[in-house]
Amino acid sequence: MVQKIRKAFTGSECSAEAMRQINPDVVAAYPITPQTPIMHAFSQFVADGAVDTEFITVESEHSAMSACVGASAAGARSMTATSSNGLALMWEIVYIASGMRLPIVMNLVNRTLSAPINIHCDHSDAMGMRDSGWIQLFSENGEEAYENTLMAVRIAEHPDVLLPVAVCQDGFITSHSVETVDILDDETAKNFVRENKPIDPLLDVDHPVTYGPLDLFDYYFEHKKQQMLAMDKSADVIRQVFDEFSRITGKSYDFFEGYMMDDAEKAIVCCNSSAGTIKTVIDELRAKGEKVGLLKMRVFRPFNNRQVVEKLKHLKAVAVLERAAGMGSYGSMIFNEIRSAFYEESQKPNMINYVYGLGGREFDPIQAKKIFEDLEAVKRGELGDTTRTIGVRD
Amino acid sequence: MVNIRELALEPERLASGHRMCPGCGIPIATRMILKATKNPIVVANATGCLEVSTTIYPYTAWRVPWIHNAFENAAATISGVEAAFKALKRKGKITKEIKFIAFGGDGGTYDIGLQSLSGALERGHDFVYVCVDNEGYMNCLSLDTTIITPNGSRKITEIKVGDLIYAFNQNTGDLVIKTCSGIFDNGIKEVYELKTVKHSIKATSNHPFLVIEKNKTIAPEGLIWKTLEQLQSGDQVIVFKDKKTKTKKEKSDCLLKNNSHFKSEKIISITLIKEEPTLDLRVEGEHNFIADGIVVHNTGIQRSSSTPYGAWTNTSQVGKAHQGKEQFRKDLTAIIAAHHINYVAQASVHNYADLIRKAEKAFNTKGPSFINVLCPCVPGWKIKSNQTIKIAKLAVETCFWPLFEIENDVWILNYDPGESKKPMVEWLKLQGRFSHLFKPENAGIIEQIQKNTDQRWEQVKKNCNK
Repeated sequence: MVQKIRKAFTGSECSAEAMRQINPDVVAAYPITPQTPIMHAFSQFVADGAVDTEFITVESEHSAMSACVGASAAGARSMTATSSNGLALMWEIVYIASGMRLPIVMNLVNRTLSAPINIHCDHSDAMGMRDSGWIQLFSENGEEAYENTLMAVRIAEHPDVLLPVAVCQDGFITSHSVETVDILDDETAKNFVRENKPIDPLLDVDHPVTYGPLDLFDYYFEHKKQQMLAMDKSADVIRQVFDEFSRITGKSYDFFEGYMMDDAEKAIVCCNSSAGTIKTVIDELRAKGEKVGLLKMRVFRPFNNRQVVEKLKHLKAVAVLERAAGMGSYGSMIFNEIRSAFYEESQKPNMINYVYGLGGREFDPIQAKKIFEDLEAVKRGELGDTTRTIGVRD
Repeated sequence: MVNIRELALEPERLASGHRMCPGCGIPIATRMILKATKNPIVVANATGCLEVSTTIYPYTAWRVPWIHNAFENAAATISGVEAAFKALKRKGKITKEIKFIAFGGDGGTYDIGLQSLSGALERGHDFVYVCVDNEGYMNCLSLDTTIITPNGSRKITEIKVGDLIYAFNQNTGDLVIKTCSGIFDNGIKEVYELKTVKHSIKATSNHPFLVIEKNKTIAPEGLIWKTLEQLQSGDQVIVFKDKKTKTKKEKSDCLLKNNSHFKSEKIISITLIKEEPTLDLRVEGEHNFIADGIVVHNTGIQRSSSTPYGAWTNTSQVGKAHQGKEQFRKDLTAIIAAHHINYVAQASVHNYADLIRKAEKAFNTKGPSFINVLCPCVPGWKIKSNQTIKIAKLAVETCFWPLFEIENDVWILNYDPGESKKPMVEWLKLQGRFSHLFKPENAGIIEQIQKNTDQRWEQVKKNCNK
């Protein structure tokens, strides 16, 4: 019998709760704001005997990811969490984790990168790792962070995938804010994540395997091709896992999730917590009869090219919001991918790009309203500056 | 305590056929250490010579589970493996007693991997860390011989068994396409340069060349194989005719006449160049292959914090203003000792009994343990491949590399030459990387090296209450 337990949890507590239910064999992590509360909570679970995880309190994020690679290759279900510069320090091993096809799950509490040093939210950490071969799930709120973390384990460990997964949530905005969330009962959650069945683990000493050999021009490319194919295939697995989890929770999950999109003429595309703000504004504008909607990106990697076209093509004007700057590129990362998805399409909306909220700059309903106002001209074909910023002093 | 006969009967966990240089100290140390436990073992390996030379995909020389992650994180990696073991054992998924070991070179241990190692030692994971210290970023061989294939010239190192390469059919004089049936490490050999009018070919003394036998003008009867050492100036050798070379009309009615691929050229000179690492290919059916024969090494050999004072490396060059490395080596073993782990030792490849005894102790120690093994490097130290053991031994006899162990913070000296302590010069003079120190104007550097070695030796003795 599936039970939902209503809790007042921060986003961090939601992630930690998912980790408690997953009960990973190994967790290796290093403190960094705003990820730290996840590890505080998890450390308490370890102390209370609520999990029987080996908790490795490493001396750096580089070693956190390195230990996860070792543990995962050894056959252990392995997890970590980090933010910002911590992810930047892991960088080298982030690629090694995916290149070795290790199903590690990482909670990434999004924080901007230095310099200038700043502990608050933007997505420059997540966008930096977007081509590293990790699946990336985004979470609007704590409940989604909880759900994504449970689903991440199933996606990562699927034999057709065997890729690491990063579960993103907004630093402070989500990670430190208390909301009411629905948590599944332990039995349901544990049955859903299932037992880990590692393939060719190091600890199977009777069948020795070599992990991480030198791989030159004669085979490297084929191995990368396999990795690319696995990432492509992961889309089907994500679909299956979403559907299966949907049958448990009664909610629906998708790569791109629409809000008031069916008859919308103008829409904003975004990911993580700003979706909540935009939904509030949409409700207000809909009450006034405006045909506005939101498309929230839940999965950035793998990028569902076809779905984003299907869900946006009937619109007249779209603003893609990005909490990271694509320095020197024409438009930022998500904008570029979505616009590129429309290249062969004859029916397509006019599209503009906003960089917003860098370094934790608040994204408020006034900004969301302003964007919908701006889209009125865009709808008419008056694009003006395609790439814009909002909420910043000139 | 094991004897050498028992040791020989222990299974080899690192298979032969890997690509470490002949005479390298590292595989010697690795094989012996892996024999020091009968338990199943999982190995983590930092990026470095041992890693690249034992695992080029799709081959592996490791008969035990092995993981390479990156350069600086072998200790963090093995700590993850060991944590996985503990967790899975607790859950009843593993019942065997498995030992864990990490190998790193001095670059991966003294320098870039020091933080990772320090963290793992402090956390107290149950593993052995072995530093195979060859005193620099030595890197593996890179051999530059060009082989002619149907797809153009390729480096000898790019050729794989099964690849098609051009060979010379001795009976018909035709250029034929044959399959490469084997690639062999020929070791460090004397390399000669054979010069003809148009070609310069570098080869070892036993490299076969096809020559026109004296006083016989008609081939194929007149063609015979001679090794380079049997050749003389004036001999006519068969060379590959590249497109740029204009074809001269052959004098005689032999297979070379009108042959678009081969011609004969007169040898002008054969001179010894130097000793270099070499590779050899074998081709099915035909013995020969078309190569420029040039065999060179090595892109590595940079200084690390383990490189001794005065040593030449590619990043501590010798010139008018500087005479090699200008810093004394980091005392890593003492740094590790400062972690107060239960077992720390310094060992050398020349003393197998001491090394294996230490490895056994390390494996049987609860918690982390550490062994620093001096492993001479043939190309990096510029030594002969048959002098590895001698030079390792001299490092100990000069007290440059004292053998000691630290059990539960108690220092024990394993070898004291006493009055027969040898001067550093004896160790230095056998190594090309120190050859510049023997110029009269560098006598002061040798004095400094001797002084520093003496000071450090006295400190080790003091630590050991000697």
